[in-house]
Amino acid sequence: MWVKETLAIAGKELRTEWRSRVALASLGLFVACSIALVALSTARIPLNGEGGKEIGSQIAAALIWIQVCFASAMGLGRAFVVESERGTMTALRLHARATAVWAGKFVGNTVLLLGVCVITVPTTCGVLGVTVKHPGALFAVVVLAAIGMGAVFTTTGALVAQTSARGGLLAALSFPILLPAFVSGVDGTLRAIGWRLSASSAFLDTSGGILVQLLSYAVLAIASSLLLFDAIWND
Amino acid sequence: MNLMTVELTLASLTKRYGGRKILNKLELTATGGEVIGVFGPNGSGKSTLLRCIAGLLRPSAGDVKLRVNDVDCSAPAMLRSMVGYVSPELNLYPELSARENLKFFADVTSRPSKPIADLLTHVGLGKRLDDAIGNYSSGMRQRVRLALAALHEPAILLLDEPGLALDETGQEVVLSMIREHQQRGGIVILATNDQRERELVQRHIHVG
Repeated sequence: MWVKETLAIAGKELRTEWRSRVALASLGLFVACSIALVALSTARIPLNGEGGKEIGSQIAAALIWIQVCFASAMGLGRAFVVESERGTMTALRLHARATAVWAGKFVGNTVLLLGVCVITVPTTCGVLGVTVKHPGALFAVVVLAAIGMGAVFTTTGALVAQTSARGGLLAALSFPILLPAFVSGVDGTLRAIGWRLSASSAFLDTSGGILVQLLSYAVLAIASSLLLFDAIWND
Repeated sequence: MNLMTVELTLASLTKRYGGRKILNKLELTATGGEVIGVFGPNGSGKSTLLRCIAGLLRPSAGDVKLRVNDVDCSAPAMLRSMVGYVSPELNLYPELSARENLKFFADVTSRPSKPIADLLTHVGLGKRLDDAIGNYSSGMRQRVRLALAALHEPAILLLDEPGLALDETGQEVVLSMIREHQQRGGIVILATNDQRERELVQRHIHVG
C-alpha cells in the first residue's frame, strides 16, 4: 500500500511537471547556458597534451557538480513550495501519509536530477575533451550522489516551503548537509575520469571506497528524512 | 465506510495566532446525523475552527476528539482520514483533469473510494471530467472539491462556504450532499452565509 501511494505521488509529480514544464524550463535553460559558457570560456585554453588533459579533468569534475548543485537548488527545492503556493498542500495533507509524500517527491526529484546529469555529464566532458576511462564508475558515482542530493533537497525544500525567505534559506540549509556528497562526488568523478589523485585526497584508497561513502550518504539522507518528515509535515 | 456511530467532541478548543485569541474555549458534542452550523462575521475564525477539526491545525489548547464506530480517531492523521473538507483555500492540480485529480487522491489514500466517474457525474461534471482543471470556471472547481470531499465516504463533512461560486444546480448538489451525508449517519459541520444551507442546520455554534 505504501509503495502504491508513493508511486502515485511520484507519478503525479512527473506528470504535472511534464505538463507545466516549470522546473524543466528553468533547469533546461540553466544547463544550456552553463554548458555554452563553459564551451566559450575554455575555447582558448589548450586542453591537449598531458598537462592540458589534467586541467580539463579537474575543470570537468568541478563544473559537473556545480551545474548539478545549482540545477538541483533551482528545480528540486520547489517541489513543496509549488504545493504551498498553489494551495494544493491542504488536499495532499488530508489524503496522503507523510512518509509516502516524502518518498514520492524524492523519487520525482531524483528522476529530474538524473535527467539533468544525463545531459550535463557527457556534454561537459565532451566540451572539455575529457575521455572517461571508467564510465561504469562514473555512472555509479553520479547515480548515488544524485540519490543523496535528491533526498536532502526534498527534505530541506519541505522545511523552507513553510517560510517566507525560501530561496536563501534553501541554499543555507542544504549546502552544509550536501558538502560530503559534493566532496565524494568530485573525487569519484576525477577517479572515474582517470585523473591521478593528489596527496590531499589520497585517504580514499579506491573508487570502491568512494562508492561506499556515497551509498552510505544516500542511505543516511533517506533514513533521517523519513524519520524527520512526519514532524515537518504535521507541524 | 459503514457509519454506525460517530461522535465529535470539542473540549475547551482554543486557537491563538500570536497574541490574538481566535477560538476561545469552544465546547461541542455532536453525534451522527447532525448538521452543525458555524456562524460568525468574516475573520471571526470559522475556517480556523474547521481546520482544527480536520486535523490541519494544531489547537493552542483543548482537544478535538472523534470516535467512529467506537474507535478513537482523535490523532491528527486519523482525523484527516475521517473528514471530507470543502474550502475555498483547498485547490487541486490545474494540469490534471478532474478524473485524474480524484484518481490521484484515491490512489494516495489506499482506502475504498466511490466510483470516480459516478461522483463527477453526480456533481454535474459528467461531460467535462477529462478536461484539465486549469480550464475550469471557479464554479466547476468548487464542484470538483465537493466530489473530492465525498470520495472516501467520510465520517465528518466539513463545509466552508460550500455554495461559493455555484449556480442554482450546483447549490442543489450541496444541499443533496448534506442530506445524503446526514442520512448515512455522518456529521456535517457547515460554515456558511447562504440562507438555504442555513435552513438545514439543526444547531449552531457562534465564533468571534
